[in-house]
Amino acid sequence: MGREFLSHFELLILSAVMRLSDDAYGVTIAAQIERSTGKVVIFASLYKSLDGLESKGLVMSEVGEPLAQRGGKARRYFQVTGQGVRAVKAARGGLMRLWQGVPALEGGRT
Amino acid sequence: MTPPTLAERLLTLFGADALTGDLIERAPTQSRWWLWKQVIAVVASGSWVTLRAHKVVAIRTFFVGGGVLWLWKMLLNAVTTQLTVGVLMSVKFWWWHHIGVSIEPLTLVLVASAAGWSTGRMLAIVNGRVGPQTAVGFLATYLICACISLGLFAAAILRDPHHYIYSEWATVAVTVSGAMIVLPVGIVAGSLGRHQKSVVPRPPVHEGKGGVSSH
Repeated sequence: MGREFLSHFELLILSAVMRLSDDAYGVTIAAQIERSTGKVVIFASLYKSLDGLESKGLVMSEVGEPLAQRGGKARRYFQVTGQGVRAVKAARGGLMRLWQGVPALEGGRT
Repeated sequence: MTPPTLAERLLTLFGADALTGDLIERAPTQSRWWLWKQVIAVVASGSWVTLRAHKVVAIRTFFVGGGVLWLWKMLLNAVTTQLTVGVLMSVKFWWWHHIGVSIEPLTLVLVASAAGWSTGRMLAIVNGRVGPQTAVGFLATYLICACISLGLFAAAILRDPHHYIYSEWATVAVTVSGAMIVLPVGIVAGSLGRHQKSVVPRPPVHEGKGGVSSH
């Protein structure tokens, strides 16, 4: 991971993949993110980020078998690596420390 | 909704297998607008990735595409000159007498179609299997240039509203629609056709998850 920061979208993707565990592929990852954020996910951006995360070693992927309901295309399943889990923990810790004591986030000011 | 054939073809040409499969799987529960938004993103993203991965091809694309369009522009200038003051004047008058409308708009549309199609075809030929992606990159560049030209043209008219007389507005409208619609459609049509999938190198993906149909 080094000194690179995770983007907000990358953090969402990593969290969704961890939550989905064995069933993390494009459709389920997008659905998970859409449920939690209420925003529509563009699949091209999702795969671009997933490819980026894979090249950084934060996720790894496996291709399943071709399925008829997908026009004969296989699913690509993702899994967060140990390095990915550490990156998410570090990001969470950083955000928690940053948010702590901010009145606007504690219902004081908006 | 089930993805239309055109959408599936574009996804197959521009997207990775897993991405295409995901969109096909998700499409039945989504709207037409959602699907086309996703398809456009796949086409744009796939083209950008290809152009970045094949810089020499990208440069060649802009020179070849620009060159073909420049040749067509020269031809159009020659034809319109001959129609106005040259040997084609008799054809123009014959047309006007028998058909009853000006021949210039038709000439513009025909030249724009031929220019677009031959540009797309030429890009597909010189760039081989990378053709459709580079054609989209060229098309985007062309549209940006066309919009800038259009903006400058509109600014010139606003500065001097009498620059064009009323009767010339039909020709102006046909020229603009030819440049903005007919020619881009021609480029896309010419660049598609016999092309296969993108050859962009993608990150290695491990084979596995046999028998995943139970997921």
